[in-house]
Formats: sequence, C-alpha cells, structure tokens
Amino acid sequence: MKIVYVDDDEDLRDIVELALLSHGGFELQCSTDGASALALVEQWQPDAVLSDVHMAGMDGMALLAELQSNPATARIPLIFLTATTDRQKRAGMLALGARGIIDKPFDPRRLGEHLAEMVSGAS
Amino acid sequence: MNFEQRPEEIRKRFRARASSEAMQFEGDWKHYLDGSPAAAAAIRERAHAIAGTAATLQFDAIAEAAKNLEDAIGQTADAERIRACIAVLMACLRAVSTSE
Repeated sequence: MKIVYVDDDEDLRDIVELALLSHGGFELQCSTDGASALALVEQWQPDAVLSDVHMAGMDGMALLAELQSNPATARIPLIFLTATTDRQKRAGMLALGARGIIDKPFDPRRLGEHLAEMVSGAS
Repeated sequence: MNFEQRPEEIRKRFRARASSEAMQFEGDWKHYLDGSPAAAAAIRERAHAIAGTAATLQFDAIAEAAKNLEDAIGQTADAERIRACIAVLMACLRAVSTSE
C-alpha cells in the first residue's frame, strides 16, 4: 500500500515512517507541507494520503480541497492525523471529504493496522 | 529497523531541542505583551504542534502543558492565565532538556 505522509514535524515523520515500515505492507513517501505533497501525490499516485492538519503554508484542509479538485488525485483518500479535539473542526474535516481521522497521540505499533483499515474502508 | 531503539533516538532529539522550544515560547510571549497581532496565533500553533508530538513521544507532562496553553489562548485574552500556562510549559520543556 503506497502512502504519502504530510507533516511539518520531523519527529512525527520519523515515528510514522518507523511505524509503517515496521508493520510491513507499506511504501511511504513524506512531504513537509501541502504544496510539495500535491506534486508528489499527482506523480506517485499513492493509495492514500495521511496528513497533519496544522502546517505552515498550505495546511491539511487546503491540501484536501486541492486534491479533490484535481481529477488526477480526486479519488485518492485522505486521512487526517491530528491532535485536534474540537468537534466542529473534526466534523468539518469529514464534511470536506476526509476518509477518516486518526488521533495524536497514536500507538506506533497499531498505526499500520488502523491506517490499512481506514484505507480499505473497514473502519 | 529497531522499534525499541529508534523511538528513543527520536525522544533524545526532542529533548535536545526542548530548551530552544522554551526560548521560542519566551520570545512569542514578549511579542504577545508588545501587542503583536500574530503572537497569539503563533503561540497557539506552536503549542498545538508540541502537544501532538510530545504526546506521541510520551512526554506526557509537556503534552498536557501544551494542550492547556493551546486551550487557554483559544478561550481567553487573560494575559495572566496565558502567562501561567506558558511558564508551566517552559518549565516542562527545560526539565526534559536536562534529563537523561
């Protein structure tokens, strides 16, 4: 399963990379912001995008809107990885078309399983 | 790929930069007191980012202090409450920066 992970936090990028590659069954490429992720997603055509919400420049919500507006990327599901607990914001993410939300903090040992379930629509 | 060693490496990296994170909060707080309109947003964004990272890396006290600061600055303009939250977070960050 090909995943693009977008986060401006180096520590979290490393933890997610460790979690998914240790789990097995994932290929991962990372971006540090929404703008660079757009080009990567269009070119690499991942099975899903996992993205932080709060990022400098193009944030996760803007990234989702851009992906959906591009026919080359519109079918690719986006899942948010966020510490946001605000119910309205979380509802807004799903209303905009996010496939799901994974909460920070997360258990790195369960991230791969959780993500695979969401991408396949089982969760 | 060693699941036992790599997270500890990442935790060490977090500890190594914790002191500079505390100094950044100190700078943001000065800008806030100076009336900079962007300061509150900067503090909130920084607190939000640290809360998520610290919680995932199991720096629970930092995560809680950062979340309290994020909530406080989103809910109130009470400078004393915000100052208190920043002071707690800075103390937590400095504590881990000097720990083994």
